[in-house]
Formats: sequence, C-alpha cells, structure tokens
Amino acid sequence: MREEKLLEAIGEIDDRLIEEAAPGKKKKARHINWFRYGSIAACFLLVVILVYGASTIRMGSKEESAADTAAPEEFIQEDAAIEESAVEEEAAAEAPAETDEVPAEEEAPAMEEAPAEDTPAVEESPAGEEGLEEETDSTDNQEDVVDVAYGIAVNGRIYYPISFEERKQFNLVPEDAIGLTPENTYQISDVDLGEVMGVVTNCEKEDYIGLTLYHFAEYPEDDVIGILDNNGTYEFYVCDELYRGNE
Amino acid sequence: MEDYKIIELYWKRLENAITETAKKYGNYCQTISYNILHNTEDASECVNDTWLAAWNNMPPKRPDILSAFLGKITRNLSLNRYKLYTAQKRGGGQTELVLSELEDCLSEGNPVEEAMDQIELTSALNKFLYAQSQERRDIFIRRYWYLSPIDEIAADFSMSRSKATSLLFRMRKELKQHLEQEGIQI
Repeated sequence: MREEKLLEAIGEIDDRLIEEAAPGKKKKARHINWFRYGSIAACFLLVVILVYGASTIRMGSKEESAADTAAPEEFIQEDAAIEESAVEEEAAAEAPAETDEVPAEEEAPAMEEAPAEDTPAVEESPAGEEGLEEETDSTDNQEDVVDVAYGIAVNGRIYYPISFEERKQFNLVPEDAIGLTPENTYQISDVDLGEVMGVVTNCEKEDYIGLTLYHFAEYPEDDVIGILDNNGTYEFYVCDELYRGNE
Repeated sequence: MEDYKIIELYWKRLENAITETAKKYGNYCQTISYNILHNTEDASECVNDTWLAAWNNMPPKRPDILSAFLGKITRNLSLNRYKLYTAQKRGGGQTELVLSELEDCLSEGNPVEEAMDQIELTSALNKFLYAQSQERRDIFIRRYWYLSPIDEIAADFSMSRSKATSLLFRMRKELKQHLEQEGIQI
C-alpha cells in the first residue's frame, strides 16, 4: 500500500528531527501564554490609566479653582512663586542672582499670554517683588508654587496670588509690558497697606492661616485686591469672584 | 546515565547495557509502540525486541542520537506487528487513522510501486520538514512518526484539537505539493 510506504519513509527521517519532536519535550514552553501576559499587560495599563486619571483630575480641579481668571494658572503660580520666594529670601543672607533663572525657566514653556520668546524667563523671575534675590533650588520652589496656587480664604471669599494680567488691570505693570520682570515688578511697601480687610481663615498652607490681608491703599474701598502680610513680606492677592464681577 | 556511556556498555558487551537502556528509554519506546498497536502487551514485546535489536546492532553501530536509534527500531518492529494485525483483522490504535490521513499526500492515479525510491522519498521528506517552523515540524512528526493521538498533540502544543487537525491537514496538502515539485510520485 502506498500510504504504508510513505509511513515507512517518514520513519527514516533525520534522527535530530525525531529527537526534537519527542513527546514531553518542552512543547508547552514554546508557546506564549497569552492569558498570563495579557493579564500583566492589563494590570500595567490599568496603573497607567489610574495615574493619568489622577493627574488629570488634580489638574482639572486646579483649573476649576482658577477658572475664568484673566490670567492663566501659570501666572498665578509664578506670582505665588514670587511672593513665596520672597519669604525664603528673608531667611537667606545673600543669594546669587543667577539662581533666579531656575524656577522661571521651568515655568516658561507653559506660558500662553506672555510668550516665552518675547519675555525671557529670567525676567519673570520673582526676584524683584520685594527687591530681594531669592535663594531656592528649583525643586523646592516648584513644590511651593503648587501649594500656594490654591489661594487663601478671607471673609468667606477665596483670594489667589495676583496674575500678570491682573497686575495690568490694576496698573501695577506698564501697559505695554509683555511679562513680569524684576524691573517692572511693583515693590510693595508699608505705605501701600490700607485698612485691614480680614484674616486668612483657611489655606492649604497651614502657616498662612491667621495672616492678615490688607486693602491695597491705591484702591482702599476695593475688596478685589488685597495685600497679604506674610510675616513682613507683602504679597498681592486677588479675589476672582469679585474680579469677574467687576469686568 | 548519559547516552554515550550506555553505548559504551553495548560495545563492551556488558549486559547492564540493556538494563540502563530500559531504565532510560523504556517509557519512550513503550509509548511509540503503544500508539501503533494500541495494545500494552504487544507493545511491551516490541520494546523487549528493541533491546535485543539494539544489542545485535551495537557494535558495529554507534548511534549519534540513541533515543532516535531505539525509537526507529521500536517503530519498525511495531509497524511490522501491525501488518500482522491487519492480516488477522485486528485493528485499533492510531495506525489506521494515520494511514488514511497519509492518503492525502499521495498523487492521483496509480503509479507503479517501483517508481518510488525510498531513499529519495526520505530525502524529500527531510527537506520538507526542515523548511517548516519548529512547531509545525514537531507537530507533523508527532503525528506521523510517533503516531501520537491528535488530542495529545493539541494538549502538548497548547492548541485546540481543531487547530491541530487543520494544521496537519494543511501540512499534508503542502507535502503533496512538495513531493510533486520534487518529481516524486507515490
């Protein structure tokens, strides 16, 4: 029979082929266990989604809290950095001016209303707010920026660090300014303090609670803008709610 | 014990050569024979005949791969016994199924038997098998050399029975085409 001849011929194939195909010899290992690897991939994907989702929600809540302000969140953070760094500068004896570039450069790519190419990041650095130079490393500064960006609660209203656009509105920078620089940053002094507006009742930074918010002497009746006395360092704050109401 | 040491025992004509061989390859040869004959007693007899054949062949032979050498002896002995079965109208095992499957590889018509050169055919089979991926090759050999049941092959290669069946079907068609291209008519 022809098929028997074929079966016999198959019996004479190379010994190596016979040995490789022997029953019980590493057959399963050659197969990829898709279920196992699929599970691992699914878990990894889930972690990525969760991390991404958490960061998106966090960013979203920040944007919401600063929603519809005239200036983008980056400016609020920058200004916060200005005033925050001023606090730290008081503790520092001397600081090299070139360190100002570090935090400013990190913020620069996010700028929208004041293009980074027109306004070098170094000019937006917070050094000039109180006429002091800061001495902070970029990482510390970044963390502080995030913390204070949430604002302070005074008299039941939320005040946020003043943005660049808001500075323009309150004539704190020249009209043609395209970014905040040490030169055009308004220097707050005691004479700028008006009547007491209120006391900080809530803030993500606990050491801000209890600080006093003063009226800006230039706008003594206006609750929109205020100056926070942060242990001798003055910082502009604006109430978004009132600010939008005035627009 | 390593294969070369077992072979050395045969060459020294030491009887424990068979004991060591049976210890290492007893199950292997028993499986091959059982797949063909589907009868444990007959399979055991074939395996014992295998040890005797190995004793008679070594020396002068010194096989490179002892397992394949012994397996070939078992397979041939078992197929010969299977022919005896068919003469006695006894059936069973994978052999009938495998033989009917192998009809797919045969050319049309009825060429004279002399036209088929066994050595040429085996050479063409080797060429065909080496051209396959490792997995396809192993599956083919498991079915048509070891005569393993389809279910067992499917389980060993982590695939469904239908996938193994369809893979073997395609390979048989490819083999037929290959043999025709090689000018071999069975």
